[in-house]
Amino acid sequence: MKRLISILFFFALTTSSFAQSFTIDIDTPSIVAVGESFRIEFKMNHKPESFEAPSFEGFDLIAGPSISQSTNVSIINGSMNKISVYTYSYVVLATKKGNYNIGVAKAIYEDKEYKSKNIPIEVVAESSATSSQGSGQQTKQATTLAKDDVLLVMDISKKNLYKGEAVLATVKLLTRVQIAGLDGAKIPTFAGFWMQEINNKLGQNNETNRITYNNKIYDATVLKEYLLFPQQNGEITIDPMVLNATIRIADQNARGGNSIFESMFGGGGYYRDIRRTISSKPITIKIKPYPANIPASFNGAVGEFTMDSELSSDIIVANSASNLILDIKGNGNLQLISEPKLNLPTSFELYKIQAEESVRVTNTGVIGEKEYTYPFIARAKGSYTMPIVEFTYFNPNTAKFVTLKSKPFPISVSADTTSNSGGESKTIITGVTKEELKIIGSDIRYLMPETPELKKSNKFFIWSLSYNLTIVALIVIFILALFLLKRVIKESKDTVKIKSKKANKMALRQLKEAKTYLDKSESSSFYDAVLKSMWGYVADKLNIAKASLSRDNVGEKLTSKGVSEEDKDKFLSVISSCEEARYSPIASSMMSEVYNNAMDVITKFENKL
Amino acid sequence: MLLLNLRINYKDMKKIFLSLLFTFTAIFSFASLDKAEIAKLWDQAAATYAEGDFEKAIEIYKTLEKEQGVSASLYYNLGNSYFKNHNLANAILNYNRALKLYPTSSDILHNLAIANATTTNKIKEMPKFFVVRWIESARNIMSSDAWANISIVGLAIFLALAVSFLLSRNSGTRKSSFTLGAIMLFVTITSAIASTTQMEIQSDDTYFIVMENNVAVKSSPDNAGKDIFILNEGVKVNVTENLGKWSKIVIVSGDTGWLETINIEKI
Repeated sequence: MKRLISILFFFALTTSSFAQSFTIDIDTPSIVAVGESFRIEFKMNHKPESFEAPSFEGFDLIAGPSISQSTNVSIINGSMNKISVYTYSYVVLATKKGNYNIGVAKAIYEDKEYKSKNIPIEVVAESSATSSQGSGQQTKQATTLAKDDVLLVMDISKKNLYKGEAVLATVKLLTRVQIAGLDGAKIPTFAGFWMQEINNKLGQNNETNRITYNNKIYDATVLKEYLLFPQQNGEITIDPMVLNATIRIADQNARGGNSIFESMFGGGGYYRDIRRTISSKPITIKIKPYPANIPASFNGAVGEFTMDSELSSDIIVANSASNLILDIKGNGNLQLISEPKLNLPTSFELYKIQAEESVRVTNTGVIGEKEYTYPFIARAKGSYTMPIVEFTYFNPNTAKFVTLKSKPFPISVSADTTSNSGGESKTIITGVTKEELKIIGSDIRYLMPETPELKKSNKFFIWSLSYNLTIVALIVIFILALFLLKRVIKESKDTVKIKSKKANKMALRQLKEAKTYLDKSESSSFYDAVLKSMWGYVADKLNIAKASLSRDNVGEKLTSKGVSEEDKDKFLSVISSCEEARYSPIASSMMSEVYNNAMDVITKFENKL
Repeated sequence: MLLLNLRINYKDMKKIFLSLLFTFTAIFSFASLDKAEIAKLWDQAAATYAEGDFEKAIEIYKTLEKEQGVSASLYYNLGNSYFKNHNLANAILNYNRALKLYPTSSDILHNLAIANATTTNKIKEMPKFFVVRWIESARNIMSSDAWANISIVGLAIFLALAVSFLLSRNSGTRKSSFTLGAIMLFVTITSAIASTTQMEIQSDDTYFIVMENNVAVKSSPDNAGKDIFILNEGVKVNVTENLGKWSKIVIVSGDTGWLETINIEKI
């Protein structure tokens, strides 16, 4: 078994060493000046069987190829690693301004043709022609120092951005001369920003690369890199960074330039140090305000995030704890965001929210995650749904707000059987006493759902045409009713008058009839006729219905009409004698007297009524 | 004969009354333009509101307002949409417009109170005398039209009682008709007054809402005028005078000054 492993291991080793494919790397400066001669190196990891140089179009080939080989053998933990480099070097001269490609180099290795990349080189017009020995060695020992030989430049990746959006600020040292030292750095305060330093290469031996700046070739060294998060709207100006540079220039006067050899081999150590204060330019950044309609759950997060939610346990016993965990991952101002709000039902108690973050600050932003733990204790049994936690961030790339929501976890809380003196009825509910109705937050009431009747303008009934017409109509009806009813009353009054007018005639006619009975001596018919005439007379005269006639009400009515007591008694005596006579035969002798009395009463009444 | 005559008269009166009633209802029932269409838009607006697309809801309500007309609930829903869309000034403006049409709606009053609570300016309203408050709240129990209807009914009863008073020969009937009639006359007049004042308040177009933040109220109607105070969006002002681009305003606290008319919108 062991043996098998060791064999496998051996194979793995050998194959890995053989597996290295053939590569061609090119080492050249990307920017050169017109008239500058420079070196282009093709580096291969295996010795090629043949090598064909590119055309170097646009450049003059001065020297080459010179072939060199270097082998680097390292033994780490007993494993040997051999790296060989075969280098073909050419020295070419840039003759004309412009953008050129050096062309494709071809190499044949193990009967296969490999091609190098076609690398562009920019040739800029610049007077100072210095020979360059490959990349990274351009710094010359100048004899004089121009004003712009050493520059401090701050680059901002974006100048127009949203509040909270990350921006990369790079501080570069551009030199055309040799720098002996840098000190006294004054770093801007970055007021208005939240700043994260990514790289601090100040005082270190840094990589340089050639760039053109203001049509001149410089060696650029990145000194510092900051990630900036603007914290306010409007325009923010970044103060310049200030640095003291010690510049080393060759001192020709010291030796009068006597020794050609010394000057040829690097100046022989006769130099002069000049101190100069260099400063970057202030930079103004414009911070755009967020678009309108900021969601309420937005708490300053800018970038791109995802959110996971988790409930540590969804079945718990009352008075025990559980956690809601929110995990926000992404790229943005993670450190600046505050915890999303969790509104628990009132029978839950929320404890201090814990936040843990692990972030990495890179050139592209702060990448990492932030985990919020919401510990809570359920105080009352029941089934609940965890409220949804909303987390809103602003995505500066799409200029939109994005709201992430946690899941609505169901949680069931069972009764606490361990609580003191047992029984769930005794469960202590702290913080939740008997309350009427707790208003937790106020919000506007919801829409009115019923479709209304839409009116073009607001009309009022009062004093409108229809209102006034109605009033007029009512008054007209009133007047009509009054008029008509009055007439009805008047007419009914008239019938009474007619009746009473006719009463006398009627009574006299009946009495006349009674007279014929008197002559014939038919006593009962006579009394009937008299009685009828008397009652009929008062009924018509006094406007009393015949059915309701009685001695009492007739007497009362007569008195109220101003009939004398004597006449009334006479009338009543006529009535009573008639009634008595109807049932007693002896009364026939009184017939003429009754008749006279009746005539007398009617005559008298006729005058009075 | 007479009774017959009366009966005909009564029938005629009934006919007249019915035809009158008919004409009134005809006047009130205006031609409703495709009601189903309005209902569809209305439901659509509610659906977009529920989804949280308040801008779309605002758009629909505004089209309805422009093309079909207004109602208290339309203004209320529009106000809600604006409020949810964080447009406070427009929310308050529309709540006020809704309240004008329906002064007793508790929903409108509640939402307006919340919207007012969110404004920056907290202007203390001058407290009203309690009797005035009572009268106002009594007046606001019913809408102007309801009061008008009561005044009509009151007048009809009053007139009927007047007939009975004038024609009755029974002293008891006359007495009770007189008392009741006096009460009905009072009811008629007060309800007509209530209706009229409500109409006046609702058609009062001197009230405006400040639509912008940091509006300077100046001592005189020109830019050189001294700033007296600053108003923020959502404040209700009463415009008493206009002069060119400037309006003289009075706020509820009684403070007065001039501001540019473009900053305010009529309720």
